[in-house]
Amino acid sequence: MKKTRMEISVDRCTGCRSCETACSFLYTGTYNPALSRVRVLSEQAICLSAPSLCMHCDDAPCAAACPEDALYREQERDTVALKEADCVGCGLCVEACPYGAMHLDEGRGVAFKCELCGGDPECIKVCAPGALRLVTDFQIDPARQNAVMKAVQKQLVANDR
Amino acid sequence: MNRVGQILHVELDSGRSWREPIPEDWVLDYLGSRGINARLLWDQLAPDTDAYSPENPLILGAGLLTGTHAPSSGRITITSKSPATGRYFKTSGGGQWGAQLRYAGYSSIVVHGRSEEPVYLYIEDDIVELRPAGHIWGKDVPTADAQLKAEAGRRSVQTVCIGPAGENLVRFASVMCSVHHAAGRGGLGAVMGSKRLKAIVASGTRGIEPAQPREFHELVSEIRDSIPGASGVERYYRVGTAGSVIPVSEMGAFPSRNFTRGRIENPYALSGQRLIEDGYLKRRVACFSCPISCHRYTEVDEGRYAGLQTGGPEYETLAAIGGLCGLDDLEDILKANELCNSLGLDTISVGSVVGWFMECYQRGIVEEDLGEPVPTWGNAEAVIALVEQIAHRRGSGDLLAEGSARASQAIGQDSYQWAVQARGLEQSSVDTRASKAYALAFAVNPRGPDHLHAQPMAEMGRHTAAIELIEKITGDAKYATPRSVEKRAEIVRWHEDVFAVTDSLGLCAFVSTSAYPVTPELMGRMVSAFTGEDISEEHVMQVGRRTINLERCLNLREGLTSADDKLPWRMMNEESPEHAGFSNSAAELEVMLYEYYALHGWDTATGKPTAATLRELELGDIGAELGIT
Repeated sequence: MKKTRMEISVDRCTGCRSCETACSFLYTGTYNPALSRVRVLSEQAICLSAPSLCMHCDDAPCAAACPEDALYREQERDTVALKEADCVGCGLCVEACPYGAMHLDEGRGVAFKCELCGGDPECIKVCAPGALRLVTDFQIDPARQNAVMKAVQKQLVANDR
Repeated sequence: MNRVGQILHVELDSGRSWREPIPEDWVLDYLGSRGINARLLWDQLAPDTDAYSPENPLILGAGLLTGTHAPSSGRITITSKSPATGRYFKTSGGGQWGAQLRYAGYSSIVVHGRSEEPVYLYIEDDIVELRPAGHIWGKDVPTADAQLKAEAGRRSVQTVCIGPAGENLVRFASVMCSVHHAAGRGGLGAVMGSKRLKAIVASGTRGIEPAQPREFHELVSEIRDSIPGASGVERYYRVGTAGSVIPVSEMGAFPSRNFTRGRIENPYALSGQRLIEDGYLKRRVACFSCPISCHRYTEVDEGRYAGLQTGGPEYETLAAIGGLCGLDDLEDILKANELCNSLGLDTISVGSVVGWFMECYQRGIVEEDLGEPVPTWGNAEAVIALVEQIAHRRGSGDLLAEGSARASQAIGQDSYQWAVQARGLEQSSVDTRASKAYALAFAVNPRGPDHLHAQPMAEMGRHTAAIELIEKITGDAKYATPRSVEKRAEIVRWHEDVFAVTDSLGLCAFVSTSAYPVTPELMGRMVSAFTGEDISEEHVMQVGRRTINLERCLNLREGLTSADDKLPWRMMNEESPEHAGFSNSAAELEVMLYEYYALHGWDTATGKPTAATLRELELGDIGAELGIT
């Protein structure tokens, strides 16, 4: 098992949203941010943007909230994965996620989230300013990671849920 | 299935709205936004309608490729009759609003009539509602936008919004897209204000699906990959358009003190380089789907403007407010930029009009009792005070809010000679006297003398790609010089056509006419994969030509003649301060115009498209309405 996570550099994100169109296209064949697993959060007044996606929390609130046990820990990258066949589209995981990273596909009646594209994320390929980086060698500076999480959380708290 | 989107009509008097599909031929004949808007305006605008009349439609359009993964595809066009020029006008803007409009399922909005009370238009997929805006009428753009996002319940909604300047019918009021991106020119913000329409909020969840999804995605991905390496692009990312201040001043092409000078003493002080080195630049910002990220976000941390936050500044703002008004302190310019953006004013016209006013004062022809601060060259306090006055039509601002054409008529005393405007539009900061393709482009631009039309930067011959382009267009690299009047018609025409298509696709000119990674051939391939039709490079260039001719017809219908194809008095009658002997004399212009008309298949005496030309472009019916048969 090789623990894998996405590192987000808030200072580099330009808010272009190419990650959203690339992601939604890969999974649905259409350009639709509403079906993207990565979402760009913005405080437009100060031109601040950051991509937000699943943090693969250790005690994942989404998994705890799921009545069908459809969310589980997969062993290859130590990420939280969704078994779509078991999902009934109740939306409790969406409410439970503190990062707004869980989404509901109204059309298909199932939840969806970032699962790092099996270890080869599409969004990284299209991010021109280099705000997204896959990390497997865990030397992330805790202070930096906290800053990222705080920026994301602060945005979400200000957001309407 | 959402591919090209529908046209949404909204009538402000009744609140009624209705949708129609884009007429079948229009997608391939005009592609999107600029072209389709122009066609809609032809149908919806009766000749001789006043710009502030409820009968003047305001049309907004997103590009054909806006909302897709095509690079730099976020731009919108807003089209109407301008209160500044009294004629056809299109203005464009960036940001994120266009993509949301497309995700809601629309390519265009036609706003009819006028509301009794201030309103805003709220669009969210199928929801199309007029909502009261009395509580945000009078508010600046950032405040109004924040309120609109709060009312929508989501910060992801996007707005186009006017500020107090538009509400007060300033003839160069802008429409601000996504808060910071100005659809600046021509006073279309005032048209919106005359309709008491404060803003349009858009968001959507309907995905856009190309006809050939895999082919389209692979193609645009390849094009994206080619952009960072294209010459000029890295510079835009690093130092923004503000990075052009130093080289342009060193070339003697940076208009200053109302075009009486061609350079400033310390261009570094106003440059994109300095924005970085002195810590003003906080973030690089991109419009929708753009890998270039030329936009800036700037803050002032200390001193008299501590706490100031603003999007920009762009080159034109530094040139208009720094150059034309003679301001040399960057922070003063940042303050003026912030005010213009918040109040909803075009920075180019502001700099030019205030510069004109400063020259009037210098020449002793404005009243002594102006009070403080006095509009002397470089007086930042005066500029900042005047910006506020203009937006609210107070004091001298009431006169200046009319633009330099009308203001100089009111003041008289030959002040028209230093109103650097033509057709009612103030010239943007290119000294056309020593840049001949620009001179021709500015003279024939349907808006008036500005750079967002043909933008023939290649004539400067400043890098290999530019020289190669000139060679491709004219047959000889020797024409890659701004001082020559030869082959300017060919150079302008290529740029006109490509710029028109760029606009209509929703693309930024920075990928097609400043740097060249997105060629007309690639545009054809993108359109082919997106629509499922077989679209060649020739077809694409034809769309450009058709759009230019349609715009010409729109202006002819509003009374334009070849006499309007000219430049400001100062350009035509005074030599460049930097290049002795260079001006845009009537004789020189006449030669270039003759060649330009001939090349376009327009009558060389009247500048009107011939019947044959219009028929070839499938504009025969439009020609007939003009009596061209």
